[in-house]
Amino acid sequence: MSLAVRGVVAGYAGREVLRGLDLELKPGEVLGVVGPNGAGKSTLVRVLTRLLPAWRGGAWLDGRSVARIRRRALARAVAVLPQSGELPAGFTVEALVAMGRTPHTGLLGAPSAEDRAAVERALVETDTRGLRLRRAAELSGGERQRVLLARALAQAPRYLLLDEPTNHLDLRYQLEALAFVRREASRGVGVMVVLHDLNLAAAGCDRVALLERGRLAALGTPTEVLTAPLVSRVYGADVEVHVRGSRPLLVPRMPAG
Amino acid sequence: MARADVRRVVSRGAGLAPATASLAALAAVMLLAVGVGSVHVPPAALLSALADGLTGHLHGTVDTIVWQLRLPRVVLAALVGAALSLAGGAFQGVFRNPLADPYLLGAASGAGFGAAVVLVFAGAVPWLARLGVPLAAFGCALATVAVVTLLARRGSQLPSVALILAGVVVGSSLSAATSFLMLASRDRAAGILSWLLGSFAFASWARLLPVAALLVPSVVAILGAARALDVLQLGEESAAQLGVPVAAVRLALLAAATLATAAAVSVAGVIGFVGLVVPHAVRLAFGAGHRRLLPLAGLWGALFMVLADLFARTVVAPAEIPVGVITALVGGPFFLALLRRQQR
Amino acid sequence: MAKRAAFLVILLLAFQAALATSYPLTVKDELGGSLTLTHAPRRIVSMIPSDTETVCALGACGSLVGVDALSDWPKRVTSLPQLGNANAPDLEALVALKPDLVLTDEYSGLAPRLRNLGLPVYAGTPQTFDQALTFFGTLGRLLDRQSEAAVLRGRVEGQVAAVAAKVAGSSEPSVFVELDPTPYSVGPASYLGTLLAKAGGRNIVGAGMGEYPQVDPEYVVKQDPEVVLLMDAPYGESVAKAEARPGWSTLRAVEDGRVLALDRQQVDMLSRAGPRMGDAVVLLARLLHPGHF
Repeated sequence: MSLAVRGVVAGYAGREVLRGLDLELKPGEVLGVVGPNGAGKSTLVRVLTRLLPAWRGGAWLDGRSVARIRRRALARAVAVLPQSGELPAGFTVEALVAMGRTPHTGLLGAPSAEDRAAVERALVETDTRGLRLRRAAELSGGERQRVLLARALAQAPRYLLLDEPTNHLDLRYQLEALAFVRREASRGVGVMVVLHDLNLAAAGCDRVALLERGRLAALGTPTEVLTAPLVSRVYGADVEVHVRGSRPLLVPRMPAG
Repeated sequence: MARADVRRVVSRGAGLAPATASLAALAAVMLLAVGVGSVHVPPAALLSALADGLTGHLHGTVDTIVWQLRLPRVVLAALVGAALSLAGGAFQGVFRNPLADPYLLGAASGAGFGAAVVLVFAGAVPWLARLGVPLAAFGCALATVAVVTLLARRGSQLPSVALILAGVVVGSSLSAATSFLMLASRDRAAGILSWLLGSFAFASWARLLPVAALLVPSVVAILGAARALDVLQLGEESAAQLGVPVAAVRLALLAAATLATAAAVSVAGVIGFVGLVVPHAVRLAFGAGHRRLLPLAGLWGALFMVLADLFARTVVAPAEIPVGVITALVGGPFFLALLRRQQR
Repeated sequence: MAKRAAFLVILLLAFQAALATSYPLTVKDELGGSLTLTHAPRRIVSMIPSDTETVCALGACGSLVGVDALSDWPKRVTSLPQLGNANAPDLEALVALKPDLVLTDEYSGLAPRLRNLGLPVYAGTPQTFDQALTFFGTLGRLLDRQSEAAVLRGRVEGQVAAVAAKVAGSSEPSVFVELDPTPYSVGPASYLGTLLAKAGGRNIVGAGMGEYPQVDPEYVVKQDPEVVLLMDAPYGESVAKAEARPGWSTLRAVEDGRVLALDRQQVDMLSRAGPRMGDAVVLLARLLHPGHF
């Protein structure tokens, strides 16, 4: 039982981005995916959700090839928190969160009691009940993120993929997102978080996958992966690593001169 | 209460109330429109004429005027207004752009070209005369959008930018061709121009029924896609990740909207602004949820068109102003006002 | 000559007694539609100015109950209810008049609409000189005015013959007929082109150029017409404006002062293929051969 890619080669318009990647997301864990720009992190998310077909290899959901699973069934199992974080202006928060139920309700059916209950639960969990009638245009950045999280929660997935969800947000909301993610993992959801901030990855993830030019450079606990030599090589930047408890803390070393 | 709070109440608690109120308003406006014309028909005579028709006992000139001249015209205006607004709403949803309108993919240019060809060559080519302007306009509108769609296809996808570009290119070519036909055949130019500007003067039950028949499947399809349109607003990737068959839904919506647009344009000419302004205004007033937006847009599009046509045929009676001119004159400033309100 | 015309008239009058329409009468119009009249029409609506003129020329003016807005001859029809025109008709008022015959054209699409409303329609308007002569007879039959139709036809033919006789042997001046300043002109096969030929004029527009061609302005200058007829004078053009055009100062028509502005009534008369065709030919002949009239 896992969401995995095996030997995946994929890219855009003749340009390879993923060059033979093996990675497995297990239920109940928080797997961080880090790497410099262009390493293939977002491409990985697209391949896992069948937005991008793999040229070789593929993605597998619980042992079945993702290409052979019907889209709706895949959406019932896998939810994505998108990178852009934009919400269409004219909809209420409640309507937006309810859209997370689409893979369950379908496009033509009416929402069932179970759908309504899932939406309520999602609003409660993300503390957005008070926002339910507000229009998306009126929300702050942090509120928007919570709404996106609520939508993913309403989808009731077994696997949750967050694609750089906190780039543009204040530290408080970054930590809020990680806390949310840990809660879901403790309930058995497999969570993959694509992150830019290495310290955040170190602090919040059970395992970290370091991608380098479309391949897996390292996979393991934060301490195992986020070492000075590896990070320096992959990112081309000098860091010092201090271990605090079981988690590493990376401190950038300013270049001389 | 603060404005935002009022809007919340309106948009939330309303439920069916806006739809019923809109339907009542439409019925009232249609009744008003049927009561007005160049021959004075007092209200009592109007009601008696309507009753005569409903019981099947038509007799006399007043009945003829009401049932053969006014009623088909008012009903056709309502149908065309509804069709264009629904198509506009669908286009705005598919392209995720509140400035989209039903003519984006060239349906209007295609219809105009078809009409021009028949008007210019029907004398020399008998089968063209038998085909008639409405059928030619309808066929050319559909063919144009089909060509645009084929040009814009990238594998299994229909990217919005490619569609709009192809629509602009094909549309301008056909408009140029139409202008050329108008210049080359001066005595037909006025006829082509007046067709292009739109009119309901040629309404009849015979013309109306095929349009209504075509509108049934397209309206059903568009209304049925309301939830899909909502989810599409999240972006194509997010919608796909929620299990929506994005390419298929977009194609189906564009096809349904094009069918409705082609049907409308084939009988009424190219009437602008309705498909752009009405769905946009309804969205601003009632929110973006398509399950309410689309039916209300349809009802208000019908209402607006009936009023515009009423205006067009009474202001300089017995002459008529082309309806397209009225909708542009009203729609333009109204749209500007909407935009400015939004920016505040 | 006048004698020949008079002879024709007497001959036709002799047949008057035999020419009466029997009803019910069924005819096919130019659109292929079938029209059945049970009696001579007493409530006629005419949506075409030339049809109005013909109806009145046949003596049935009193039976007209409504005309289009452009019908203005004879003067008495201007007091009749105006019903728009064939392209933009006031259908309600038309229906309210309860006509028993509506005359309209084949191109505006009005005829099928009238048929749908259950009105008796004859769709067909003559486009050429000969078609107009035939139409006098057709309308005469519809209205039971066949002898009047024969007289009318004879009169018009007589006028044309008289003109032909007068201008026989004179040279034909070259003429440029200007419909609008673009310039648009008329070809020899067009209605006006035919009238021009009957009036003894030579159209500078050749047969191969079509019936209503847009002409190259240089062509006009090159052809150097002796007479220019400004059919667009009632619509804003003037002799002074025309003479000021590039290259026109060298035209014979300008030098001889034979750039002629026509007024509204003259333009109407020259445009309507109806009972005043003979008058139209006479008018043209007067303008082209001033010495003879």
